[in-house]
Amino acid sequence: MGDYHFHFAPLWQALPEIWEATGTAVLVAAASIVLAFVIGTSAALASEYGGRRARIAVAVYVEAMRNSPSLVKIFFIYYGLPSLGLYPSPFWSGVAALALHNGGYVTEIVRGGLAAVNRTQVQAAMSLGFGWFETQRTVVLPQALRQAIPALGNVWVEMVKDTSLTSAIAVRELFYLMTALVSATLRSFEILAVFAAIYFALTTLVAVAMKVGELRTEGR
Amino acid sequence: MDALAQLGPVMPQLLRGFLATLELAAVALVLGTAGGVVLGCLYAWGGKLLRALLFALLTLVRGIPLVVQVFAVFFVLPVYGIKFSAMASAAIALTGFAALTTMEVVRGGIAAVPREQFQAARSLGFPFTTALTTVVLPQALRIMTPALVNQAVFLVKATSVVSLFGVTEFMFTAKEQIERTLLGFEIMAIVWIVYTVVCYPMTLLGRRIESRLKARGHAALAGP
Repeated sequence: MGDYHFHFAPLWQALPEIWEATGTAVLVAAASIVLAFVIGTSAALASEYGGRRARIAVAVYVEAMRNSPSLVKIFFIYYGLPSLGLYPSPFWSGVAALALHNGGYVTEIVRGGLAAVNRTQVQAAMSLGFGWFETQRTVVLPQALRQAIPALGNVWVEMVKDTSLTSAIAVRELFYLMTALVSATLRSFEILAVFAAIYFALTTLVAVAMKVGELRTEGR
Repeated sequence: MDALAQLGPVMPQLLRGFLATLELAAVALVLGTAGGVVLGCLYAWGGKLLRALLFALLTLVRGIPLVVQVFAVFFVLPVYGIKFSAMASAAIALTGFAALTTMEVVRGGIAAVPREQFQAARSLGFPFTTALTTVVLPQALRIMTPALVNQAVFLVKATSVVSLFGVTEFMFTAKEQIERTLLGFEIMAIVWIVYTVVCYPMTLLGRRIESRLKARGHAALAGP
């Protein structure tokens, strides 16, 4: 251990690639976070207001997502859909898989938030002449989502970390570059330290942003 | 029917991979839970420095993808002359991860047992370990159960990431067989269903225990 010499030069040379890979990871995370939010909110609303069939369909979706690894969905989309004549790119396979997988968690979280908003508020808004959509948008969802912020934050941190799994289908994000750099330079310790730090910075950023969001909406 | 004929020889391979996944998950679960209980007690009764160290470790483990942590065990330990087989490295990485995340559950469980109970046991003359194992831990364990079950589900799913390092578990075997047969849709559907069949009953169990605890007026700990 004592005779190991740190050598960061190979990393310095790879800086443009690291920058690009960070961008890709952020893009995968951002796209899947937005999509998962849309999927989760729609599914939660469908479950709450769509009647028995919709509720069962949403429950099946949620359990299908939560009880298997996200990597299964990544491979299912990337290796499975070509059998149906669809050839999604690695990037979109990864985004779709992460969005669907975590959409299951988001559904449960938003459902919990919706359940916490008193039904009488919906009745009051509707009787004041608000349409259903308007009621949800202006009365129910703002309250439901405010409650959901901490739990959503946890899921988003998980999603940022899960972007590393898309390297398995050759999305050129951070972990993909990390393994490539290690085999090219054999500087495994330095590379590990730098990439772990980048990931840690990204997840901390999300966690802090959510905390700020939580504090700013508190008491409103 | 062509695909079905092709799937025949794939199944024994998938089964082998699946058994490897179960083995990995069982090792990580048993050793990780034991380690987590020890770490949780150290956290609850240890000094300030130890507590800070454990908290820092937990924060790191939570803020960095599991693949990067597994990578550390696979590629950084050998630099220091510590070499293991792929399967053993995977087990070590997953166990370490399980122990640290379980520590947080155990810490929460211990914190939920009123401190006076421990003090009362001690003042009645119970030695430290007896007070711990007969008074605090049984109550803490009951509160922790749903979170521990969730943790088990989480670990079974987490084993899949070691496929990225060539460990021949379920996911890796599935990928190998897809490359050989090009039956991506069929094989991944099977893998998806098998994982669900393993994890869903555990999810249900966790939920049932949680609602039973709530009915008895205990607040259950949130899962990981």
